[in-house]
Amino acid sequence: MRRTRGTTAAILATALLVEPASASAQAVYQRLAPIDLTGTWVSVVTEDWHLRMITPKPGEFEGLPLNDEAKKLAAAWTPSRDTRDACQSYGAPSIMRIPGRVKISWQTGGSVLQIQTDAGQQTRLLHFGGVSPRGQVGWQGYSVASWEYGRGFDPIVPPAANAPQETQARAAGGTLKVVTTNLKPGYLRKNGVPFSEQARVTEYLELELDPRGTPWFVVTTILSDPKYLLRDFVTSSNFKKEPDDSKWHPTACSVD
Amino acid sequence: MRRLSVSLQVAIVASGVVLLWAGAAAQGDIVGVWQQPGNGLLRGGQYEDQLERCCGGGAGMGGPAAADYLGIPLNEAGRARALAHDDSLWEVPEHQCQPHAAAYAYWGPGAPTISAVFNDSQQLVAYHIEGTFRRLPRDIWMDGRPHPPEYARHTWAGFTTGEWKGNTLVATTTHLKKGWVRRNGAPVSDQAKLLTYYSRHGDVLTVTVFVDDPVYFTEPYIKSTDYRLAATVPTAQFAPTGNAAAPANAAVTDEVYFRCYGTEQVIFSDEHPVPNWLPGKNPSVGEKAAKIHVPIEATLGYAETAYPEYIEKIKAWRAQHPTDAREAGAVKGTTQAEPARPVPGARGDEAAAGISAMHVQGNVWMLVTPSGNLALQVGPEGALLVDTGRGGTGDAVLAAIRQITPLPLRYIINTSAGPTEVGNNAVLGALKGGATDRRGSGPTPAVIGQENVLAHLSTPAGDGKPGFPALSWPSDPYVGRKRSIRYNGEAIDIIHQPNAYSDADSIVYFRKSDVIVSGEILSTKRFPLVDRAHGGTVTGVLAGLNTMLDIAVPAVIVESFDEDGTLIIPSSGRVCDRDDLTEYRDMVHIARSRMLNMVSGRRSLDEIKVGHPLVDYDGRYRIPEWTTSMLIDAMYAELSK
Repeated sequence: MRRTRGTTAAILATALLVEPASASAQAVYQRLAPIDLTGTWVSVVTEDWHLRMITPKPGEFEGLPLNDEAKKLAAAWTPSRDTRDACQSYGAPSIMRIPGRVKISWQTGGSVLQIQTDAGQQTRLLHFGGVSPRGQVGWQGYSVASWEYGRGFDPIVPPAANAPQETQARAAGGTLKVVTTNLKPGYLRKNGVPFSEQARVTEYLELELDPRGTPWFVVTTILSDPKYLLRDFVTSSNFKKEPDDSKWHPTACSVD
Repeated sequence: MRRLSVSLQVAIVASGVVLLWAGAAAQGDIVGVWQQPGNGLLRGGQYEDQLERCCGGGAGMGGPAAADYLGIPLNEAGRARALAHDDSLWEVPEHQCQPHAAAYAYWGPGAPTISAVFNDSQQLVAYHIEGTFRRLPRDIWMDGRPHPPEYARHTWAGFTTGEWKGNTLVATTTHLKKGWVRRNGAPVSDQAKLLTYYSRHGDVLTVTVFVDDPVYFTEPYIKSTDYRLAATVPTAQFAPTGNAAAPANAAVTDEVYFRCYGTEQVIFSDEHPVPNWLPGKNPSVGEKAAKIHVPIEATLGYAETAYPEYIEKIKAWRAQHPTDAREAGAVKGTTQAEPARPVPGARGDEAAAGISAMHVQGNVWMLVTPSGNLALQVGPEGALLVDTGRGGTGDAVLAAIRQITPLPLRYIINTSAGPTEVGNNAVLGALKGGATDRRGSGPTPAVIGQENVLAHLSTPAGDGKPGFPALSWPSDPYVGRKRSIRYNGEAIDIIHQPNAYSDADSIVYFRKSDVIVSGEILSTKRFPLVDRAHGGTVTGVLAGLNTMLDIAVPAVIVESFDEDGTLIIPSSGRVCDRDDLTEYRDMVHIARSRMLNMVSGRRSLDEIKVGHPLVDYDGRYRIPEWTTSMLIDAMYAELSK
């Protein structure tokens, strides 16, 4: 049931009394997380297997809404001539499609959620708080994160949460939304399918339980790239929770 | 979307230090018309698994390559079942019009249209989904109703309930038919359970399906796919003839969903063909592996192949086999091996006491007893009972009949002389006036059975006395192929099926109700039972199943897939339709073909059993009273003559 504005105001007032303004305003993003994505997760590749588990052959770009320029570039790609940084196919537009494990953790202060990958040893920083993209371009760009709460939870909250609100947030459930820009041009697939510096990645991470109770997160990735794509490229990738990080196996970026 | 509410304004004023919260209320509504994210409402536009879903070079219009099970966590049974699949099966009339079952529905062509159904109080009752392949309609019940009992029908859509959790609609589906998770034969059994998550993000809908199948998978199988909200509602038109599809370049408005009815697309040499590959004979094994240069095992559906560490195995294998996968062989073996071990998971008979009644169709009900099913036809003239149940349960059967009709029982039909068919003949056949409250007078019910029922019941046992008392014997045995009667305004055919479960079998067809009672020839709970001591044969069972298939007529698909048509009451298990019957027939046909092949190859019974020739069906149909080994014994004895 949706809360009334009056109720919200009362909670706010209470929260402000309970939580002094000096309390960490940033930690509220962690404390009011509607879902817990922290831990180690492994990608389970049940779709596009031949495009993800192995490097597809040159010219294999089926299922991609490429424009003519992108097709021309992709068709001309040959592994022997490609001497660029191997990490160019590990950028934010494609990193969640690369088989591997990811480790998700809150950084000090609770306003940055970090995603580390063992494949390619990449680090993504998801910044909460409505900050604008900044810094230099890179494979992982700059990511702005926000929570989208489930039905029944008013998104307007004070900077410092109290225990009831934390409970409400978790009960409401929700989604992590991430928008990434400031990207360094790279490859969408290891076989030379390009994305440009104009690429923008919007992701939604959902927490789900399988029929046996094992947690998974599913990330829906929407890539827009006016330079190379005719329309948004949408995929979803699946990660299963691991009990520990004993299978964490960092490997360098690889072209194969 | 950020919203600035009254409460936030209050907070800002009060504190002066409040941050703007970067969260937002999510749009959770899934109602709308959803299309593939690419350029197409019905075909094309898939961004994931595009080759296998669209045009990967498989049978017919495209589809996955044969024997390509990349990433699917098949167990030995699932692998054996998958590798037995021959794409020619789709040419058989019984299979031509089958839609994609719920486990695969979102990967086929189509534009799912989701609407909300409300009751008179404007409370949400269900979400209704149309527009997947062959327009199979589905409902997600949101009103808290329970899932139906185990013996209720299984359908292509299954039975689904849902609840909102956060931004996501979580739907649980049971009562599915045996289907596939890839349309090259990768199976999902009728025991599978689905969890489907619908998550909307703006105009993108992500659908994630977990398939938990204890029969064919080693772990839950997950797939996710994405749709875009369509700007306009598609106007689906239909092809002018049977199974014709629109040309590949058809415009949206010219697209088709197919209307469909089985036709003779191919002339087979057999009257009732079931194309399949014998174990170890699938010629497509290794083709995909060779094409993408990976070990053969990678294409055969082991769970481990979906995890990142398998990449190292591929690399190691490639280092040893730099060019061609087929020449070098697989990590786990160089050729397709026959199944190595049976799959545990036998299903015993249900232990529930008492009798449940379920209306099937028209005038016909199914009475579910712990030892098997009975059928009851009711109408203004009274009741007709097909089979009387295991001995000692007569009072319970009478009570169940009285729950449905107070009118007298006039006819009893025995579909064979088995203990579940005739066990209460003496009690029910002696009811004066057919009164089920035992307070009547007048003639007792006529008991009809094929003449061999009478022969078996009256044959002296070891002590020289008849095996069953005379009161149990059919009072009105029939001779020959068929007996037809008319009762309650309905023509009823009692058709002798020679040498099936026994030599005394009958199939009962209620023409107006369009319901068949199979007797022991069909069960959804066990392998085909054969009473060899009384003339039973697997060959006869197969013939009986084909006879019922000849009678059963599915609904023609026109504007929407109709899961009705002829319904069949099996000897045990759930109510079936023609597709369930087809699945069981296919199984018996395939089992018999394999046995015939091995017997003709002069393999001994022990050698045959070691090879576990029915591993793909063992976990589904074996019961303690009739194990796979017993069936193999029976088939061997029959086919090695």
